[in-house]
Amino acid sequence: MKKYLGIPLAFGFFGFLVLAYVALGTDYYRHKQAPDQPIAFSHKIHAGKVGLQCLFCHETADKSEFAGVPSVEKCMSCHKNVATDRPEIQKLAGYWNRREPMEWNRVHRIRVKKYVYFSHERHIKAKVDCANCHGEVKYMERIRQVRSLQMGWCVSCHREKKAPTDCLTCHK
Amino acid sequence: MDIFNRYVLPPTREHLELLRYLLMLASLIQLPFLGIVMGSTFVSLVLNLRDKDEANPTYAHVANDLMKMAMPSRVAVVVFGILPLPVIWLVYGQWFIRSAVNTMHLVPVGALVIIAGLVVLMRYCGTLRRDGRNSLVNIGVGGVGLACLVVGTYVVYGSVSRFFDPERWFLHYHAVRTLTAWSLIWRYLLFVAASLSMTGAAILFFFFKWPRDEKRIEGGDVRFLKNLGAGLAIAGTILCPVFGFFYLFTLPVVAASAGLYWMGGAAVGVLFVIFVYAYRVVLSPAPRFGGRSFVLGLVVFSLMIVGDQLALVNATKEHTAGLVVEAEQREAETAAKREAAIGVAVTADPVRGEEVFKTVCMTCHRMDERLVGPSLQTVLPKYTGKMDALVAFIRKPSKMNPDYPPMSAPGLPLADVKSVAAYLLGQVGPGQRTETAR
Repeated sequence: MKKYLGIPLAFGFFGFLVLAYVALGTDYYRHKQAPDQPIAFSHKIHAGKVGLQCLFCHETADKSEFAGVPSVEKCMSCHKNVATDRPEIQKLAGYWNRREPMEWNRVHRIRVKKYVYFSHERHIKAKVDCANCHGEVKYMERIRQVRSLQMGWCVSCHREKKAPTDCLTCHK
Repeated sequence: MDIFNRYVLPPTREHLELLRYLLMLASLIQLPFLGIVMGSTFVSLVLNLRDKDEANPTYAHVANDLMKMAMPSRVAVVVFGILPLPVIWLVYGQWFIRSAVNTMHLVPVGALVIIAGLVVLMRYCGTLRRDGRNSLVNIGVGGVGLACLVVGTYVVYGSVSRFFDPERWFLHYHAVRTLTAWSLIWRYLLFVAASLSMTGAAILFFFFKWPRDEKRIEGGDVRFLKNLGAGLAIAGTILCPVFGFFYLFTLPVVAASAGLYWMGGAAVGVLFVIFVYAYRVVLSPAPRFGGRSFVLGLVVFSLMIVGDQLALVNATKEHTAGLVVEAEQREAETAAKREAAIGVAVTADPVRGEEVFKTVCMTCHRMDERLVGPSLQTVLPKYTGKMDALVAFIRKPSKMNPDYPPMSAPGLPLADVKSVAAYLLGQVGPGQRTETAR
């Protein structure tokens, strides 16, 4: 019977590997894939086809650390009249009528954010294009994070562009 | 590569999809073949060296027969090993034009090394003696051929590895740095493990299953070959999922998607089935399961190739979208130039203009009130008598007033734009006549 021991061992080995793959997939599904949003907003239409500039909606990006998201009022400035028959626009109008803010789900995440200082304003003033860190948003139907936003990557760019690389620049 | 940027136009969406299918087909033709050649050469060299130490006719026979199995003829080597190379290079070159990464020049370098390796191995194969009296020089030739194949396939794999990681495209990496990334190493090791498994399955298939009427081996070698094939398959099926796990673990998140993990899981399942067949072959006195193992080995290669493609598609989604947009713009410009060159008479018809205004423009514009755009009665007077300027603005709007959002180009045909312009100018001032213009 010893010669048939290989089969149960193989079950154990491959079973363990299948579980490892499931763990990887679950980690991706829970933490890394592009999150669902309250409204299926398409950057491809707004930034791509319509041609809206980033700062038109993300108004505080050149004034503060945070880029911010537009208020419902900003969206309604066009959508009070544009495409009002579409279901997603009707959802938007619902928020406006109820005077309720939309709770967008965070897409770009620095995993250890509480130890890192990042300022959008400093980067825009340094003429860093939004696409450097956010990718070509105007081609994204559904916005996703396309950069790791890890320290090594940030430091690589700081080195290339001769920006400060001492610790206190970002850890303060 | 610059040659592609200069001479190749950006592909349309349909063209790109076709290119990707072609790439998958070319890879499926080539990679299992190269894997079998590399695996067989490695085993053949080991057996020849062992035969030198302890003369054993079985080692010499098998070392010779393995190479004959892996490289049956020059035609097979050219069709399976060499022809797909320019196809792969051209497809990648078209897919990655306009990108900031310039590693595509590594593909022809790797391809030449692969071709050199195959030529050397044909020589090794041709001069191998079945009676075991092979010189060390001849065995060395086989070693050089194998080394060339390993280096060549690694370089070709590595040439596209930067594309999996868009965040590093702007970094000016030396070729050596490109070729020593962890995700590339795991990707290549996955190919090596799949090659081992494929070699084992090929032994069980080509020696014992097909072609049926050919007597390839003598009685004494049957047991040795059977166990060799099954052993290689077992080794490959154990290593493959481990390397696959590390490949997925080190893959940049931008390249990942749910489908990729499903494929990985399916591949582990198929590898398990191959393992069970190979294990039963070891236990049984007669060779079996050659056909099933070979087909399942090809399935594993297919899953690897499709998975690799999927990861690359995920990582370069925005780059591809940019190419498609450029292709569509080029098509639109060509159509407009053709229209102008043919000199088609474009009639501005205010009735048609009113119809277009009501269906398209009224989404954002009213004549007498601000909506998304300004009240038209306030902006149109400056175009009185300047119909061409109004037509040009409607076709390609530019931001005029900071109090309003930018106007998007409506994408209307020239005749409709002229008609709308004629209608609008007729609304603000008297005496605007219909004109026929070229």
